[in-house]
Amino acid sequence: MPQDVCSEQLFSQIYHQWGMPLFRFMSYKTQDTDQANDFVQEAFITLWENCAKVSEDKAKSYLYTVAHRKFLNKVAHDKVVQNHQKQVDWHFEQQSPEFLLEEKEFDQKLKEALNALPQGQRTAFLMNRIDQMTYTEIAQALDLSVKAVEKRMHLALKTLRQNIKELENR
Amino acid sequence: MMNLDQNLHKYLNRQSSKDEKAALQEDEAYADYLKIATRASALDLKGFKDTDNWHKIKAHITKNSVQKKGRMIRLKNMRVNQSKLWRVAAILVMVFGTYFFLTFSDTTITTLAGKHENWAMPDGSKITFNAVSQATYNRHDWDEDRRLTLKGEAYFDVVKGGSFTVETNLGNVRVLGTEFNVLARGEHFRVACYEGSVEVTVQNTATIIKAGQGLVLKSSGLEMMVLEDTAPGWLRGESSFDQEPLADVLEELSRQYGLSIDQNQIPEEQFTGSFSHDNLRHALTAVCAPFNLKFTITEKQVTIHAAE
Repeated sequence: MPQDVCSEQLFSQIYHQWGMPLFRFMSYKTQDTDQANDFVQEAFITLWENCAKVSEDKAKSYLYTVAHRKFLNKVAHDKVVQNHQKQVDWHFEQQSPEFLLEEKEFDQKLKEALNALPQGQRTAFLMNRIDQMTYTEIAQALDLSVKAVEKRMHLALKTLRQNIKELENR
Repeated sequence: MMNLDQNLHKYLNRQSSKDEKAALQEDEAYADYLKIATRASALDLKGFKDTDNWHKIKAHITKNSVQKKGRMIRLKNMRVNQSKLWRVAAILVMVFGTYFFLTFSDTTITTLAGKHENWAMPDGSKITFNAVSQATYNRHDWDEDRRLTLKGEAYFDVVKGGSFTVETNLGNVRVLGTEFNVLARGEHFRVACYEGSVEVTVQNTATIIKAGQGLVLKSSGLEMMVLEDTAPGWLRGESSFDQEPLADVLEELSRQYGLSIDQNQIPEEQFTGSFSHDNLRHALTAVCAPFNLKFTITEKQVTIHAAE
């Protein structure tokens, strides 16, 4: 029988592994670093409170589902408005030596365009790109069908392409 | 004929073939999508308050778990002295609280006998620890300086990035993104490189080894060796040895199976061969038979003696 996550060592290991990805997930949604960190704390606390019901292999999907629901609750209650002042701090990984100047400009436009995307598209898109999640995993976390995820991915790319072109023409 | 949309989703799910990707490149819009998708994959975020979050989570948990433990106290004799009950409860709280604090605030990973552990580092690098091993690192600094101390044995799968350093009592191993194994136990120091290259520093002398090469510390100094496998045997449930003292082999066996082995009558011999991790009898036979030794297994101990 798979082990539940009530062991301190296991729980701590799960935090080491999924804390950062969960932070990213909440950053895509809230675009606010402080809020994202708060949601991470809440999700892990909820995981611990229900540790007996969650097996080790289900911890990741549980965390994502809980975090997603908490976000929806907060939006419903607080009518959270997208905070355009406190943007998340995007940065690109270590560059290869072949990095070109034109890439730097493209990157900048990409970041701006991402921030301007609707939350649902941005979240699904970045879960796929940065966290390397499959459409099935994304569907599960966001409580959507795979078809709905496909649509969001396509729309995200269309919108990003359009936004970047507009930024290029400025 | 597959349409471009289907191709696109296959690509995004990392399932497309070269041809399917090429078909996307032909179309102006889809080629742009590819460029955007590829570039977006290289993004990352800052601002994660790793230690801070952990302290807050831990604080909440300690409160909760104390309550859980409290409920587990069952009283058989209802005439228990009330003050005694409180003393028992207070001690329980303290012990549990201390254990929690030590476990959660350290960035130390320890494996017990008979256990291998997988560990993911904040940057995605993966480490697999052999039994009875310990590593310590500072998660707060990990972004800028990937460095940890190791006692025992571990296999490293390091993602590309800044340098990654493993410090042991006997020497340091520095890499830039590769797969390698480090053994540092007692006076044994051995590094095996399976991918990429690593720089091993022992007593101020640095040596670089590449995939397929290993270094072992002997009394005469560091010796280069050629690796026979593409991954260490212990990862796949088998420990192998080449001309190693029987006592050391039995020590590794005791670590893998979590048993103590009485080594009083062990001859000073060298062992070449291997034992598996899934059957104690087979393992002991593999090690003992070449030297005409017999073994007796009791509940938690194995005794080895010469055949009469």
